[in-house]
Amino acid sequence: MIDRLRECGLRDFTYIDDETVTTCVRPEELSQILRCLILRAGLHFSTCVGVDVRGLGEQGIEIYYIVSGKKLRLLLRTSVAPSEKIEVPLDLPCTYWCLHEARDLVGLNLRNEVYTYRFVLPDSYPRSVCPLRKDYQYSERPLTKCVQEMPTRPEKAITLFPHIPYFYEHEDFIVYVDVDKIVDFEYRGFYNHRGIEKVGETRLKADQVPFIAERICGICGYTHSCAYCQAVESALRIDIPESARLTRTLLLEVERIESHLLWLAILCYMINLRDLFLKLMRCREHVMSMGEILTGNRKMYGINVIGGVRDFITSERIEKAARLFSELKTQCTKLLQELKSSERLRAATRGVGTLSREDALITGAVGPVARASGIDYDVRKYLPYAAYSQVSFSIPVYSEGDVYSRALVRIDETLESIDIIDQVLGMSRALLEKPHRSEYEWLPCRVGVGMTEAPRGEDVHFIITGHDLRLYRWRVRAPTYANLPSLWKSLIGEKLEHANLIIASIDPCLACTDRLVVVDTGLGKVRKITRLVEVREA
Amino acid sequence: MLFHSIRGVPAIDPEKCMGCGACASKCPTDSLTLHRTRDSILLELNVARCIRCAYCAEACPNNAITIEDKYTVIGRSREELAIRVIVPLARCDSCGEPLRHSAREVELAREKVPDLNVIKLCDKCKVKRVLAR
Ligand code: SF4
Ligand code: SF4
Repeated sequence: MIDRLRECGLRDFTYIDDETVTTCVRPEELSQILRCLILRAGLHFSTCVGVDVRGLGEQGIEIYYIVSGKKLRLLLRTSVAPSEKIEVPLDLPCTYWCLHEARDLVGLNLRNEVYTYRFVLPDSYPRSVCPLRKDYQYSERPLTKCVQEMPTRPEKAITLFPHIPYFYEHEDFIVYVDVDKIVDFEYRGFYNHRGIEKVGETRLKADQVPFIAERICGICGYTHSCAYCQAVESALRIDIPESARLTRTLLLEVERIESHLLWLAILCYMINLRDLFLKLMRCREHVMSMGEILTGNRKMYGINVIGGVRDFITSERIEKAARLFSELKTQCTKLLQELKSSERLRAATRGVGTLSREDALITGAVGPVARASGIDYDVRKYLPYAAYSQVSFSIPVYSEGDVYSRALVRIDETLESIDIIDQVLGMSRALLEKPHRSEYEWLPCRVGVGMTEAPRGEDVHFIITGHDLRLYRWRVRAPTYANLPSLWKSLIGEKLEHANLIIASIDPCLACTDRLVVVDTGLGKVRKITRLVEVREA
Repeated sequence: MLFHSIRGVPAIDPEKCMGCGACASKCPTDSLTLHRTRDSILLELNVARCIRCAYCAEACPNNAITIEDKYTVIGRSREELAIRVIVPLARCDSCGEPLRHSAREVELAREKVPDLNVIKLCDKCKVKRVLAR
């Protein structure tokens, strides 16, 4: 792998941990190197992070590009002088969002901008304020005024599903249609900036952040706290005990089943399989109970700490959970087989919203969306974390790229997860072994990356440690953020009646994208989206 | 074991709490706050803010906090949802002025380290005693 990196013109690698290497590049070479890494070497572009390094005694801004491949995670580091401009590589849509985010949050200057309006901040935020710069206090509230920055097009607009102010979160999916064919698509989200990264960098201590990280998403929160803890563990080189690894694996898989069952249930609801919807939701209820038995909470397990997990899991709890799980397993497997063989599912979703492999690569799609398009990228196999190297499982991959394959990927994955939980519960002796956490010493100015495979795809947390148990920088790249750009490719050319289904098929999570601390419950999630589709007639 | 079945509202035992503030500094959401008045320490728990993480129960040196099985709490105002514990401060042996530590902290210190000679004097009286020598 390192040879392939050399071919792309990279030199002087430094190892952060066994799998993470970092190297410095000059800003003007960046686009060329990224093109080579993604298009030629076949690596996956995870995200980029803008850091205001003035607090570290340097000048300007640093950008870290995170690129990952098999058993290797590459961190490209670029220093940008205050007046220098960074080029957006127009042929790589996967880089658009994070570069514009760096522009809005830390004040990076961009050449050939794709979005001229404020992108990850609400329109009313003043232009001069970059909330993640170090000279901006977290308690400051900028003066806002109502403006609309996103340019409106002259077409006649029909709002199909109006924005309902009852919801905290709001995003617009704007589709341009010609009779009933979708010809263009625009997305505007990020209306609600809560600054959770800023809170983590200023108000909270590093050992309190796992709780806030867990509240980024109401459905797959645990994966965020795992990714955060892994980031710190990689930065400080903490080796976590075996029992903690197994506990994390167990709970991550419980969460995956729970999340996939929710998505499958909602899919059934959308294609009018109401009885299966109810059955799947009932099954999901038992999965939530498993979390409750093991950790005391149905969601927000609150069990992760830096260096391991807390001593919550006892032998009685494991026994009780195993008993529940053996009942649940047969029921759940039967339901999933029923859904898989359903004619209705095939008829309603086959050939809808096709995303080709090439498009998935350049838009940086992750998780089930990528795996339905023939990319076998799964962090659990590529960069094993927790105890995934000790359990055996396979990664379902389909090549059609339509909504049907995304459903099949999720069904197969749920079955695999059931198998993994079985294996982990079988190792209950190792699971109970004490201690559950390792001690660590806090060291400043270390860089760390933590990645997990969330139910929706790869989840990235990036940290730079500061002094006194504080973080200097914390960046979260949640999976929906990486999956939304693929909608440009899969929506255009489709029929309008399928728009809802295609948008729902990436399992969009508003909390993921906006990084809000909002608990998103059951049904609300996808129905919310269907109400927010706006249609403009060409 | 920190909790029995589910993780509910933390309960503070007013007999055991000594107002050290370890729980308040660990709490990630600022639900636990410590206020000082002239002659006592007030520990306040805002149940509506609490996320049931049980960090406070882990941190407490005197095991004064336990996690109850009660999860939901109802009240008409924030005031009703607050749990308050008042810990009296220790008093100076010579003039009776309140000291910086609570009476229970001094007791505990005496219990834990029996041969320690704990002087319960306020700053002024300490100075007076030194000058008188
Ligand atoms: S349980 Fe957690 S949030 Fe609640 S008071 Fe204790 S430390 Fe604070
Ligand atoms: S509850 Fe415990 S930690 Fe909190 S102030 Fe009282 S004694 Fe200290």
